[in-house]
Amino acid sequence: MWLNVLKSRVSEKSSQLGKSMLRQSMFMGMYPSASFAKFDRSKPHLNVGTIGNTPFTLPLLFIFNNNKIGHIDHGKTTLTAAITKYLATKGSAEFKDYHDIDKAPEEKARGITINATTIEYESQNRHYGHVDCPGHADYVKNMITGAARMDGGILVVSAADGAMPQTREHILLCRQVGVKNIIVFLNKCDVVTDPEMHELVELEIRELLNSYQYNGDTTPIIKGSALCALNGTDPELGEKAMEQLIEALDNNIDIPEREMDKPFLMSIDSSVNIPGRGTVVTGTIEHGRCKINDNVEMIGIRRKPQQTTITGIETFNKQLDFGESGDNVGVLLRGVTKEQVKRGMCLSKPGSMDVRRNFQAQLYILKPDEGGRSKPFFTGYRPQCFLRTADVAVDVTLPEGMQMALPGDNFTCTMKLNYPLPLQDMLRFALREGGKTVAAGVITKCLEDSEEDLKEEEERAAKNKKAK
Amino acid sequence: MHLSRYLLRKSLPISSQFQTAQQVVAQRLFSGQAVSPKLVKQLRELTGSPLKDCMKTLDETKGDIEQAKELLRKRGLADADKKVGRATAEGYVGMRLDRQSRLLTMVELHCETDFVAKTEKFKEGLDRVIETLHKQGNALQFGQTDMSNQDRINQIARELKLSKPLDSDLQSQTLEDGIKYIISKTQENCKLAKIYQRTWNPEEGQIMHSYIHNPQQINSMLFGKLGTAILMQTNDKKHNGEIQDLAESLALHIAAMKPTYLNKKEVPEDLKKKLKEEGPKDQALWKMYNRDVLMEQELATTEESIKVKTLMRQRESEIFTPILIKEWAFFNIGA
Repeated sequence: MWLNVLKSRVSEKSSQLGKSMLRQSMFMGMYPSASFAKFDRSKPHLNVGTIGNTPFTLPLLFIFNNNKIGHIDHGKTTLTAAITKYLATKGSAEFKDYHDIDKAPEEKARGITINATTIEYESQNRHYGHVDCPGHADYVKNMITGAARMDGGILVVSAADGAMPQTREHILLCRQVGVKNIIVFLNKCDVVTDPEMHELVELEIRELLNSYQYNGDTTPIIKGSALCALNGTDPELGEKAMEQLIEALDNNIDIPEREMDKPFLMSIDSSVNIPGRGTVVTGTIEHGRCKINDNVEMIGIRRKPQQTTITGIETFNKQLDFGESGDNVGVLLRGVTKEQVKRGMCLSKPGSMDVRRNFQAQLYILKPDEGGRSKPFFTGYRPQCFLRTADVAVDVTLPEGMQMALPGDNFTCTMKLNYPLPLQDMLRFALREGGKTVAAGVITKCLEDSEEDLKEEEERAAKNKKAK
Repeated sequence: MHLSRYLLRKSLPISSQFQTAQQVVAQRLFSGQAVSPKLVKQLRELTGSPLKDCMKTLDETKGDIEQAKELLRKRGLADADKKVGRATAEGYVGMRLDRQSRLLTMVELHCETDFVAKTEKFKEGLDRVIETLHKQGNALQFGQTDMSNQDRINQIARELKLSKPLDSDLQSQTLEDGIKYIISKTQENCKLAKIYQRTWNPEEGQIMHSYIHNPQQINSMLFGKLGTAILMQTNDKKHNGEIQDLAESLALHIAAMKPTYLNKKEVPEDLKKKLKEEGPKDQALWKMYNRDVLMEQELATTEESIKVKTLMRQRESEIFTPILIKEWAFFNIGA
């Protein structure tokens, strides 16, 4: 009943910034043409990508599980085309030749330009998305804005060339954007046929992978030729290699932890006092699940968590026994007054998260044509940070040696929120100022708050009390 | 290249009667029987050249590493020629500012992808190019008008010897050969796109400042994706200290606002005319001024809304002397 009142508000506010970014990006490019076929949810979806190099060298391809991203250049495109061709014969993909893949349109998703074509294909038990990014900076940008997520990668190395200086950079990129599993595809095995030479390249790659903390010794290396697969010539190096590659994808790239299996967390949109019953808070459950009589903590904005118990859950005028990730719910809390609740606070499983003010983040500064500002900014810049449902002033400190931040830049910097919030790695946020979105960011590391920060907060709290 | 070789092999008749010399070579090259992997590995460690090139040369020299190295070098340079002409849109701007000898050298070196730009080989090459040009002192004088004069750049690249050859096996290398060497190592086309080199004289009231955005450093070279330089002048050296900070903020401003012209006078007449016809009244022209003309732009280094020319006027009235922007340079990768 009480939720009926809030229904409109929930739907309005749940389209909150960071969330909607993610959602949009999930769909971005999935259906390139006007084919709005029904999406089959029976298989887990994974994202894959290719990373570009010079034409006809085809050194690298990244394939990402549960989402796919990457750039397809002339060479790499061959492999992508080969995969779709192979799977098309099995009826689980639509064949794209490399002209289709190469004419990647600049997509404008929520105003941010993204250079990526997404291709989809299915294996026996998974659904893959495959995206292609032209360069390092482009990929990092996609990662920050949430357009691309890599669950795993396929590294394409040409057997004719072996590991090149830039192969190192490709692996480094995987590290930087948090790819956990890599599969190597040794391409052009039809050009250099000597197995001993293949071993040589294998050894090089395994060494290289090891030096960047990937497990090079157990990384599967598939030998084949994308060109053979595409032209349907040598079945051993062509079709069979494709089969092995898809198998390796299925077996070696982990499905990321489902949101539902994580501890409960819900960011509070709004609160309402229902006379005679108590205070109801609304929001979208970010991860985990909750049920009636669960003990939860209200954290964020204040340093100390407040213990409470869930006494009722409703969604759109219906009673629920439990809520799970993705649900828009209203939660009735015991012993909490409306004044104690502020938008931006979170409900969480007790002890599962602590609150922080300081963190390290990767920022992408939006260009004017993407809705950002045209002026640069400097250390000491203080925009509003939109993080989950919270909206808080933040101090930006540029990295050492960086004098100013220009539109179009991406870099890692340290930031300090005006008040503490529950933070976690890979949490996305937006920086806004004067009606413009200045930057998109993703948290890469939570930092400890210093004594001074705590002191400052206490003084501020004392001041507020006095004022009242 | 690989593709063509592959197609060539495919298209040739299999019958031994028609075997061409090329096919015989191809079979020998790719059979790999004659070369031991150990040698190939050794040669690869020495040269970093692509695997199949190492195999090929070792096969031809019958396993003689020294000869193979020599042959690889020649091949690499020949291959580099084939790559010249491919589009380059990535790379780095390198800069060396020497206040003692009052010499600024700024160079834009291009390659095809930013992965290659990040490799040690590329950065080292950029450093060597800058070092070489810097050693020329004031003999070259690459001003604002010469900056992207490709003919002059090519000519200098052919004539100048690198301060130290990039290929440690050689006695000396010209700039051009040095760049070809980088191409052969990275397998991507590299190109010396822009050079700016200037001396200035503080005694005459000249001030030079340059800025590299988000710089990295090798030896005494700073490099990044974007670089600017500005040369300012007053009529007396006693004002040098006062306009130094003005030069600094203008260097930052140029990097941020990317102007095309210094002032309204520099805008070509036909462009003015075209814009006048285009917009209602002078709006299109006025917009262009605010966007592309340095003096009319809003100063980027402050949150206040103030034009560059207003700032200059303010300074001029403070020191009672005109301030002149003599030259400025804007190097930007990917633009």
